[in-house]
Amino acid sequence: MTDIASPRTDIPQDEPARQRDELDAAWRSPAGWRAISAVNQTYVGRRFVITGFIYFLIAGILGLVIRVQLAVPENDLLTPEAYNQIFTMHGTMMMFLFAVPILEGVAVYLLPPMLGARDLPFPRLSAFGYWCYLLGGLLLLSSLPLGLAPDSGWFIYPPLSSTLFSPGMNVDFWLLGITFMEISAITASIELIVAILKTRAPGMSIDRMPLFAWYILITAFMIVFGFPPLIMGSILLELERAFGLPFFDAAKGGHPLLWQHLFWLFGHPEVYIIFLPAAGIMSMVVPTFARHPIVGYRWLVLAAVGMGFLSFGLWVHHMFATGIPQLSLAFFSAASTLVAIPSGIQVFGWIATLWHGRPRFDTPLLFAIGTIVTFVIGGFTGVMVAIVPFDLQVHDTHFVVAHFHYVLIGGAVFPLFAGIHYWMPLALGRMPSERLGRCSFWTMFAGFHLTFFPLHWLGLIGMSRRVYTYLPGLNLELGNLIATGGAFLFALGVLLAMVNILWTARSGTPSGDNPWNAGTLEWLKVPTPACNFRSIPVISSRDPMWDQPKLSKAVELGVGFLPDSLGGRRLMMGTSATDARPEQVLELPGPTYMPLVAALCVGVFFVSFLLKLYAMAALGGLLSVAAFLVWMWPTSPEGRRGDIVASPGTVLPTAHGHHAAPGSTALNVTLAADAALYGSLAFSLFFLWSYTPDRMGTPLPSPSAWPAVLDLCLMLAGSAVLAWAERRMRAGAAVPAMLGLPVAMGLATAALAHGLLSSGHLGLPAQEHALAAVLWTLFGYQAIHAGAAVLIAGLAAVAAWRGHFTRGRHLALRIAVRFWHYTAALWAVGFVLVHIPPLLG
Amino acid sequence: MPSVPKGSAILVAPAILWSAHFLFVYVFVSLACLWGWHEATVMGVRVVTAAVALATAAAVLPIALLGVRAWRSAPGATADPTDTRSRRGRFIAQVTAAQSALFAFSTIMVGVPTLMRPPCV
Repeated sequence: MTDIASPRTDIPQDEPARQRDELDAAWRSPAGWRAISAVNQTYVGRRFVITGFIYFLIAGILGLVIRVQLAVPENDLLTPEAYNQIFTMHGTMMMFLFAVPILEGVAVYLLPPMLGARDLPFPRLSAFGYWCYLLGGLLLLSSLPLGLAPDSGWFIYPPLSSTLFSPGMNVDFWLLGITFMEISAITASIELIVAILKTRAPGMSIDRMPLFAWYILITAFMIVFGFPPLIMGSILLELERAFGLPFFDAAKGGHPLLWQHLFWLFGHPEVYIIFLPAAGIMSMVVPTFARHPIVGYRWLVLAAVGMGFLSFGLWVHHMFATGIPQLSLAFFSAASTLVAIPSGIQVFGWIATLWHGRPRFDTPLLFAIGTIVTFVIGGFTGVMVAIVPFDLQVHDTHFVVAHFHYVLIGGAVFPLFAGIHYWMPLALGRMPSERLGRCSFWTMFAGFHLTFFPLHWLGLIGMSRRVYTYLPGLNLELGNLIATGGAFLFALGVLLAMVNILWTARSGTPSGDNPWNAGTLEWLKVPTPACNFRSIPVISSRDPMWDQPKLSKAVELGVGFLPDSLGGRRLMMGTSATDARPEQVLELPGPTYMPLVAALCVGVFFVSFLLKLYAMAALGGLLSVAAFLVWMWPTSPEGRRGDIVASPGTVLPTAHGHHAAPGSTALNVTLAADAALYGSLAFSLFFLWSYTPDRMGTPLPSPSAWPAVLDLCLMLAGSAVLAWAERRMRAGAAVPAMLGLPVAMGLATAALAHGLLSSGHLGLPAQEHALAAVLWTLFGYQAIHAGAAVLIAGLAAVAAWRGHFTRGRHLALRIAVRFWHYTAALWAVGFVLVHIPPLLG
Repeated sequence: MPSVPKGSAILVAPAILWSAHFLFVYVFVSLACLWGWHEATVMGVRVVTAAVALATAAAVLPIALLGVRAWRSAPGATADPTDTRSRRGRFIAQVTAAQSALFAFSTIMVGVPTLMRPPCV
């Protein structure tokens, strides 16, 4: 067992200059246009943040247009149709293109240096996610100049979003653009979870993790379980619009409320997915400027976990007016008020830290205090709308608009600006202007409250949301005029903040290391070197920069882990999840265009689907598969295996091909997300089945079980063969894997072929009834997974036949086997879902 | 003395139990109302009320036990920075105990309305 205290600080490292130069060379990214091949977390994180900020500005301009339209009664600046498109795009862009991705970008940028890591564990995946985000966002945004922007609200409820009422491409832009860019949310979550669990600096046990990492960890898990319902809902709605599968069509057994459930199963956790990373930023800013360690670290972890879970029990509070039984409403009302407990703990933790410290009221702290004030008001109105009778009174009024802007701008935008000011020296190496910072804060703060506080009052006296104008003489004029003026003041504040960033980049004074005297590791060296750390430090405190004064010097001298790149390799530490004990050495890939190529291929699929060029879409799908096969094609392990002296006295195995490498954890998280996606489909079947009057009786689908039994048996047989092959591999025998993988592929191919040939057993055509549509979708889902299992097993078979597997290093086999078991389980669950309900009548 | 928690997954056990309870009561009440089971009674008690009350008790009990066990298993505070095991164990135990308190209360709050209201109005 490796002792985390083992790096010997008494031994000077050899050749520090050579090591430093080699490290820089190994981690440096290409310049010029070739920089698009860079995959380092600094590049990808910055791209996310800059792109997100540009989307924020565009969405903000749309918000200003809304306010101009509403400034006076009976304004004819916008037509109702244009107004519908603009408020839909404003909400959609702010929620999907700005809030989540920019906060993920902040996490991608900051987490490695904060955790003592050199990069994220799967840099190509991060880069792929970014390109999907950029391209998906551009696809959605392109609808605006074309006059084809979505116009059904950011939640695009059917039947308003059905082809009957929205026959154009507007809604398709939303569904396909958002689904495309949501790939990035899932990939970033997988990346961040594995990074936090498996790549922390030695000694950074979970009780020493920066709170920002805790918040991102919980957020990432929320994305893994929260986004799939929306992705599934989007797939179903697009299938309905493109091919007439009537999931939401009440005339054919569908139900519009199914969409609302799927949407809000995502939509309410989404609020906390936005708030928690921002709260993480707050929990870094507040102790630094209070000059006191955070008060109640354990309580704040409790609050974050509590909010993460409770937020999944709130979705129906967006559906209080849909006719759900009162008792069910009471469950959600209870959960909605309960979430105030962890939220309160959170806020009191920040206040207590300020109370115990000696606060320094620089710009980041001003924004942090602005957050507390604004978010608390939004929280109070949140408790108000959690009470069913009150919610029914203010439903769809501007009171709700005021509430969620207080929560989202107070809970995400102000913390983000606090973070931007706080970490600007880290990103630019220069100090921001305090005067400009203060001006931007006060302008934004005043502008925000002038804009949104009057909306409470306007809502209470009955002004509806999403209506392009109002009549004079209803006492709505003054409040709207003040709100519009406030919006421009807020925009001026944002402009001042942008000027500050540009001024800092050009003329700010050099910051030096740790200019704010912060406690966390990212401030060890400013500007941060390409490799983040000359050597990986050993952490013995929650605030290492405060409690380990010799750390900076030690890292500079190469004391710690992996001071040498061993000939230009990108090496970093892999550690245990709970105690951060050194376990492995990870070797990361360098710059590559593969993520961009793969994202472009996926883009061909989405754009072709949007244009209803389905043959081209199929080609895009095949190109995507081909790109991923090239990406993951087994390469020779020569020179990448064996043990490495990570520090004097510490020898660690490399992670390449190791069956316990981070890739194994990533697969588990991926399968969890996939299970949530499948669960959403199963929920849809269950929901529609429960609402269908005669349920599965005639003439509804009456699937025949026997063909499915045969297919299931073939898949299970494949699972058994692979389980045997892996067991033998663990004993050192590679031949069973070499034979078992092709056999399993053959069994799955037979199951797929038989399933397709006998798919008539599913009963009615998919367009005839919503339940038939779900059954066909279930079958398609399972078939796609069986196809993926064959491809993954094929890659493992190539590696097996090339002799890449050894007793302790057969990660590709382990991944193939685990994915296969999962797929077989899907088929088994699918069998139960399809064939058991008819028995219940 | 109870063993020190080794893994951190126990931290979320109370929350997972709350989630399971929440999902059960919501789905059960929805189906009962949709399919008309809410009229049924057992020994004069509505089936829906009895089922939700039982489910609430079945969820609160293990959450509470988990909390008590975690609280008792927490090692004493240590000033030794190299004593990772005790420090991390204390952290996990204390956070688990606090989670148990939060989610036991939350489970009760979600279950209580059933006792006060007819199910399908």
